[in-house]
Amino acid sequence: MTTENTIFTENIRILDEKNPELAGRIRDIVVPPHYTIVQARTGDPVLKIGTRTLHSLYDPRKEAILFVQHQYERTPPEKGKPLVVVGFGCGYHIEALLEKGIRPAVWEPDEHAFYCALMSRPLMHVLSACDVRVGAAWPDQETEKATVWMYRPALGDVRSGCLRNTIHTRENSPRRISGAFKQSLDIMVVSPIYGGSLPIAYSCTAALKRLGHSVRLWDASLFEKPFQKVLDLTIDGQNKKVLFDLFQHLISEMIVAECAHRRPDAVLCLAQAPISLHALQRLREAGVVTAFWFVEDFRFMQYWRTYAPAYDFYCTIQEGAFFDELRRIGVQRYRCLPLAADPEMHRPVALSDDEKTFYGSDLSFMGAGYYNRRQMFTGLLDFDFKIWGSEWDKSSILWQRVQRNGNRVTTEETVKIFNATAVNINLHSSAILSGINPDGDFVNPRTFEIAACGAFQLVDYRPVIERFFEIEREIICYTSLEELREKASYYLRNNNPRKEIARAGRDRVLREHTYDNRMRTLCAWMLQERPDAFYHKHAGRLAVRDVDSFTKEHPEVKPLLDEVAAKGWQPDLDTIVATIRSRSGPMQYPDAVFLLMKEYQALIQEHLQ
Amino acid sequence: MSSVLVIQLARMGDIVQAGPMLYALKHQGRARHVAVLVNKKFSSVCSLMPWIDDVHTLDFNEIGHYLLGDNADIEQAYAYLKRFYDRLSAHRFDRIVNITPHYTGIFSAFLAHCPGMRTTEDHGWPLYFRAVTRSWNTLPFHMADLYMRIAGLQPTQQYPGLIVDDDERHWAQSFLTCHACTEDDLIVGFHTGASAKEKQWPLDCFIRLGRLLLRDPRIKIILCGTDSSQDISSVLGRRCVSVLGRTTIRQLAALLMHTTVLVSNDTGPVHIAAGCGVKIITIHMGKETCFTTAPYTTEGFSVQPKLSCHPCEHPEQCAEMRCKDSIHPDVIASLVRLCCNGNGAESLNDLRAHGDSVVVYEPYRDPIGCLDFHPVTRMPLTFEAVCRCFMRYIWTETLQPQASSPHRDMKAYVGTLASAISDRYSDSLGSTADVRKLEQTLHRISALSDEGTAACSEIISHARHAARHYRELKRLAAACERVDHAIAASGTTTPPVQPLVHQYFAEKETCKENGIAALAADNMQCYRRLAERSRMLQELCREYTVCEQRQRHIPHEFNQAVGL
Repeated sequence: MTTENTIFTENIRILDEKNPELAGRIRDIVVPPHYTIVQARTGDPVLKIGTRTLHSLYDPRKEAILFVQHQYERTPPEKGKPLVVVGFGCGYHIEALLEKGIRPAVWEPDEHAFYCALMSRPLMHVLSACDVRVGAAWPDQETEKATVWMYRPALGDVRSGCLRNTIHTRENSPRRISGAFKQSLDIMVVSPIYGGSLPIAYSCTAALKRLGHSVRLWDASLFEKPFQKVLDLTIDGQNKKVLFDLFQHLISEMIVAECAHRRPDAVLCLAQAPISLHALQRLREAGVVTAFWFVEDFRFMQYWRTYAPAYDFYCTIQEGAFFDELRRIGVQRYRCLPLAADPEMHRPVALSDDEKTFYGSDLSFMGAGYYNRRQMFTGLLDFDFKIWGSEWDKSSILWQRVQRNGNRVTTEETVKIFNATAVNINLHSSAILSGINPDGDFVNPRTFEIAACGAFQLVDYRPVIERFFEIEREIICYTSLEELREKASYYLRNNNPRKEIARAGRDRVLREHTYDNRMRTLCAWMLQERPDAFYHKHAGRLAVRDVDSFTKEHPEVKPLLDEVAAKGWQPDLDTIVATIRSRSGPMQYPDAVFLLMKEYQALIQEHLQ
Repeated sequence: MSSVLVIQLARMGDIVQAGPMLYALKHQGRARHVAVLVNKKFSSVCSLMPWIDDVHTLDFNEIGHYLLGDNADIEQAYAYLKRFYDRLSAHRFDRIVNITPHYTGIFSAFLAHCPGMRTTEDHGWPLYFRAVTRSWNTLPFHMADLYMRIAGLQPTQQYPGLIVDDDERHWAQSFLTCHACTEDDLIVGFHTGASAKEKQWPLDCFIRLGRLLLRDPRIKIILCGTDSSQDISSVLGRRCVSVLGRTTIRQLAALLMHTTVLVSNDTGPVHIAAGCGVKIITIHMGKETCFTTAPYTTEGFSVQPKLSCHPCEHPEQCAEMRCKDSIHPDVIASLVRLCCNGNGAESLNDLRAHGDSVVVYEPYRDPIGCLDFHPVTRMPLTFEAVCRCFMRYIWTETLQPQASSPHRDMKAYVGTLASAISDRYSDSLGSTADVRKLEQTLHRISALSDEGTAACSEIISHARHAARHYRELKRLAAACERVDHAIAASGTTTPPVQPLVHQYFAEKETCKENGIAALAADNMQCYRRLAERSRMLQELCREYTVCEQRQRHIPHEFNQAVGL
């Protein structure tokens, strides 16, 4: 056992005594490769996330003492009030506090960072002395009663979003924290009742939480059984449709009711989420931003034509022709948000010998029995080849290779299959073509998931793959059955290149293709496009209180305020400035006054800090 | 002769640095009436510049009241600003010169604008100023020299400095008499405060410096600054007098006139001292360097830490502040002695002893009359040091309206420059790989500019029949876009050419969309200017390396004899 592991084991042992749930959670974390431990000049370990170091590279201990001294002068802890330190880093500043006889509570928003801290330093005394929380936001009612110190070096741009709960603390006046405050959203994620996008909904929820947002999953899969029961009542198509609509209406009303109660900033629906047009309209009227992630092929699933215009934001996995269609039906905000992997779910796992035997094979395929797969895989029967998943034809020659009688496979099992297989076959589905669709314009989630498991795959080539992976270095593609057979044989014979490519593919996914990446993109897009929707609830907003009297007294501002209103925004300094910046043409007199106001506001805030 | 409004909404030091420009406006016959718009908090310094006819002040505290805090009110803020700028614009200035290094100046200039007023914001120096505010580190000019150029003035050394009234002079005289200061005393001023913590040399260093200096019985120390600075006079004894928080700006200026030398952080009062003709030792830490913000004088020294992290990008986030430990009081004491006694040799030895941790710069006028700084002790030549000089030449030659600036002889300029530089630096420019890389990039930029020019020229010829040549025009527009991307990439990969690229895109932003032909013509001018500047920089590099080689073989006296 290495020294680091000894340190980690000891740290986890103490954490386990104090907070077994947290210890369990941290123990299983897979840390992305951009989290590294470097050495300061004093020899002390320092956590580095990407290019950002969380402590001084000269002397982190000295820096920690200075931090405590500085904070003590600015915001001394009040008698009877607990002290909450936001940002754990490697814990140097917490140690400095303990040496002063102060036992703070600590909140670290980033689980990965906390894991690295436990790997790098013996923190047993810190863990036993302090109440440490990791991940989810600290409850409002607790932070309101506390003095909050923020250890800023440990809080990057995105992670600053976690700080919304500190809004009322003495250290941070509402004005000063407003920049960070706007980044943190209340989001409700609505899952489908069942289907391929259900695990994506779970992954999105987890990713949004990790990014510091307050998230509630509206898990429609809880209604799967009653839903099936209702649909099984009849075989009459017309009656089925009526029941389906009524069921969807009921679930939609439940979602609207919960939104009215919880007032989220945004509702994110995954493909097939059971929400009606009427419900979407009511959410819009209530000022809730709605977003939809259509993770399906637009050419085969056509329901987007009805629903897409009802959403404020529409995400797709395809571009080009789909965008033309969306534009044509009046969708204003759309963008491509490719699929991804959840590294906490899809990761390398250690398998027992029994599991290796059961799940393992030279070649395997995991997925549904679409037409092209049924055609193509008959050419692989001379390999040690297993097929997992449902919808395979029992009468086909392939059936002998279909495992578990063609039953659905859980995500946990899928991970084991990917890990146990030497060469995972990935073939994008087609209900029309007999082989590879060379014009496919999206990448399926399996591509990212296999790579995230550190497993090797052969995937059918489509140009869009080159946007996500470096072919031949991070992933291997085939364009025909012959090439698939040839490459499968080669990589079965050559273990080292297979492992090297799998490792490079996993690194790429962890770096660029996780749900964290996708959700960060989505949130940034929503904040950029609809600042009004997210500002309106927050303190620090400089709003126009009485538009009528303002425009009566200063008629020159009317066209500008009308423009703001036409965007559906509430008029305040931020939305007015955003409107001015969004258009071209010469600057008008009121434009200059509002822009000047914004500049003065920033300048004066800077002086105050 | 016209009335001119100069907008300077930055801090006190910036207002004082605008002094030479304001004076020249009035005395070079460019303005009958000179008004300024300044932050009310710093407006009192204008009283030291009697050539300012009118001072308009904007109260940042009042604006802050409308924009921030519990009673913030956007409607009232709008009404207040509108009222203020309407009153300002009612003065009907003939010309507005904005020298505020942030956007408040640009918007203020727009709002104070009157119909028919001459506007110069879109080209030449004002445009350069606007572009360089986005990348200060590329500015090769001292701020005061830049202000002169923005106002369309030539550098002048005919500046009388700040003017102190007799009342203040008498006050200063009687103050010094009261504190037993005589004509024979050497008065050293200490200004220990600064607007930001990271700019402050540690107080302990000032105390150690004071103790070192007070070994000389002729020296007396005056502590100046605001009452927020800590009073160290009791630590230094009775030969140290504190006037912290006890003087007006005018009294401070009068008192500074009696000091032999002022030791100060880089902050407002050093500029007042410079305006009063005092020798100054300025300590630059954090993100401050002497090259743009040192006091505008050729008297004194600028001291900077010799650290790879200086100038610092984010001093407010630095927990180390190693710059504060780098500058030893011995160094400053040596410089004070140099200023007081002219005891050069001994002091230079002291400086060499600390050469690893500190670099001392001395101001001088470069061959085109701009303030620049040389190291006092020889140090390795850096590419940046030479490039700064080249860029000053290029901007001076290409931003000035042709009529107002005589074209300089490049060879003579480079010769004088090489001679001045070789005295102070070791190594040669030609030995650095940077020069070769720069030459390649410049060659590429020139070629790209020519390509852009040719595309624009074709666009102009097709523009009359745009519908017929639609496809061709689209292809040419795409070609221009490709050229622009390549130009931007060159700026990113070769930092010394960044100023040229930034200015190119800033100029491009001002192209007016008055039809295809006009737009293409404007764009063509931008490409031509970029090509001209690139070739000029190439030529300068080439000339410089030739000069350098020549000077290594030919005695310096020969250069002097031939007028280089």
